[in-house]
Amino acid sequence: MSGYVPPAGPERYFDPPVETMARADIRAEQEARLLEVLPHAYERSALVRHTWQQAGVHPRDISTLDDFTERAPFLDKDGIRRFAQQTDDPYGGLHPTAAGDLQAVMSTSGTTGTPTLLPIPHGLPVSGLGFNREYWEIGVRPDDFLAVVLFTFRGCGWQSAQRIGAVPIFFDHDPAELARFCRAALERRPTSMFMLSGYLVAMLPSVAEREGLDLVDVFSSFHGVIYGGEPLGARARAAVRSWQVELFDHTALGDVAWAMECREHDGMHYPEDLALVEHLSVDGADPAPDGELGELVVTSLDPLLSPLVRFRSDDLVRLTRRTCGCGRTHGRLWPVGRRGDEVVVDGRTVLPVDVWRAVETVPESEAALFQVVRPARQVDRLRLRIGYDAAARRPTADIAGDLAAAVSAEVGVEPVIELVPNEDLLRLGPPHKIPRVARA
Amino acid sequence: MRSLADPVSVPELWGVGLYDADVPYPVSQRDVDRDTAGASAALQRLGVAAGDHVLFVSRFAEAAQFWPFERAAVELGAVFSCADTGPGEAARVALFLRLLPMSLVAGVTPATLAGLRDLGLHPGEVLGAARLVLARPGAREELAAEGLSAGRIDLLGPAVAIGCAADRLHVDGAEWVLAGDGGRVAVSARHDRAAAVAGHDTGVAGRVLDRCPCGWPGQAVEPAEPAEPAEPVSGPAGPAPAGPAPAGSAPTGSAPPGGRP
Repeated sequence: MSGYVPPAGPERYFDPPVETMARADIRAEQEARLLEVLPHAYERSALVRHTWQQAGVHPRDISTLDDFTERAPFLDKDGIRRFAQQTDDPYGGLHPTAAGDLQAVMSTSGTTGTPTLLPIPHGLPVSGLGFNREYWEIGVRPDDFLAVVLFTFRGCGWQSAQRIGAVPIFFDHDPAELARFCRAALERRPTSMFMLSGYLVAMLPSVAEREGLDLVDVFSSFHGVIYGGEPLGARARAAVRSWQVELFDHTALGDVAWAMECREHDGMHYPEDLALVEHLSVDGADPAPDGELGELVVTSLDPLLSPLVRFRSDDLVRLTRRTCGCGRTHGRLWPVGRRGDEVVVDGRTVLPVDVWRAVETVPESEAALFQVVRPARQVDRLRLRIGYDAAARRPTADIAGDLAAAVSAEVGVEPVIELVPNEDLLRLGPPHKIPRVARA
Repeated sequence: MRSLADPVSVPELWGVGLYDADVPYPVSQRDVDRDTAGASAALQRLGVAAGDHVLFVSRFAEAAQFWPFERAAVELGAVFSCADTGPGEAARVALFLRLLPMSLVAGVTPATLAGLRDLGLHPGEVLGAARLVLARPGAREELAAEGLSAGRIDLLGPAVAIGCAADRLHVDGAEWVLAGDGGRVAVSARHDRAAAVAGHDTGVAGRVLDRCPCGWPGQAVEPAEPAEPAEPVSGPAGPAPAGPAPAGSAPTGSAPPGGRP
């Protein structure tokens, strides 16, 4: 741990007027931006136009935020895929600008299905608008080094660090790169890292042991490390604490932006100047109570971002708009799971996060690689496919028995367990996460 | 109010990548600007023009080598996409090729091909949708066995090398000097770059030519291994299109082989 202490007062924030704006001003700003963006989205996005026409609504019917939440129809990922198939539009009707205005086409990670294309128009950094505020909060400053340990996404994570004046060091998000990462950290002393995942956390101790390195020393210059991908279990979190690393969790905000913790670690801030976030009851359209479980519904407020309007993300979150201890006024959320990941066993709801703690308590499965087998939302038995260390010496029957007992104790449901080598599950996903739900 | 898109400050160093698996490769803003100019000339020689879609398959850690190509594509008015080199990214490669009319796919690895096969796909068919494919060592030979003639792309130390129609490898001659007379090729930086590269052994065996019959400018490496017989490069519509270079572009020679015979 570097011992970094954030400055008091406005110097703490990258953009003080925006990050500490009064809630009434945030709402007014959002309303103004929404009214500017809606006609643009309607005109440019075939999917938005189609969806609104089917609902009998036009942007001219919307003159306030209240009009919007009362009348605007929803989009969802299945609808986007369906529209893409019906129309042969590779962008699912979400091309944000006129033809010829693109500089790049990126794609989503594809953890929950086929990756979705993300068209990037000219004028927008390839990375989107990035993590400037978040890097600043962590303590990244001009001329600092930043370890960017990533995959697939070019520009992502590094361009916003460069805009602050920091210098990225590039690594693949791959355990094979961890020795090089450790050596570079000791040599160049970066102040932050984007990003650490559960898989890399699980692999770092053995790499450090093999290289004869002390992870406390390796991370001693880091003011903070951005974590992402999947929830980090208690065992892995304790390991990271033992390296004296302060983690900053982050998550995607419905393919529009992102949310990340501040130093209070009391929820992930989302940028309300870039996205209008609604927090709705899981099976309806009513606002969920502050702090309670609801579905994240996102509308882009920047005409250069993907024109997602009332996009039901399927993400279940707790959310609050109360001012944070850090002084920021933008909302905060706590991811809980995905609506499509929920299984109901004997009337009891189980999400992958519920199984997590149990799986990682068994040494052979401490990497917490597992899938909930979900042929339907309602199932008779909780079936789990759990990865284990193939070098384990114990009989697999003993490992499965321990896992069954741990899951029963944690979740209250007796599971049926299929053990597979960790490597089999790792092949299924992007490197930072795997699909946590499988149909079979 | 601070713009999220404007820089607070611009350090001299752009970033630190790698070459040869574990050699740190710092590059300055100036290096990246010059490399982008070289990449732009290379892409134009490959026939990339405004409106084209190009897909770069590279390691994230190869950002110092491939970001200039991605920037150059944008400067040419093309639209770039990217995927990593591992087998897990094969679905992404296949998706891009299925949904977008790719003019160029550059950087395909043996792992990409293995990943495509794991998905039950035929790499030659998937990649054959592109006008031109540049494959890394190993992948090119596998594709040839499937009937797809791909050009070469490789890294000679820190320098990106692209195969021409004569099957020689070319680097950006404004930045790099090659040496070697049949043993291993060495590469040196021509200018004062952030990374000191002088006589670096690339591990690639071959003979360095001062001029290549393909018409591309500068030095070229004739790889030591016997070059495969040139694949017929004609497709259903005739010769593999090199794509006309835009007016005023860098010198144009023949594009490397590409496309399904």
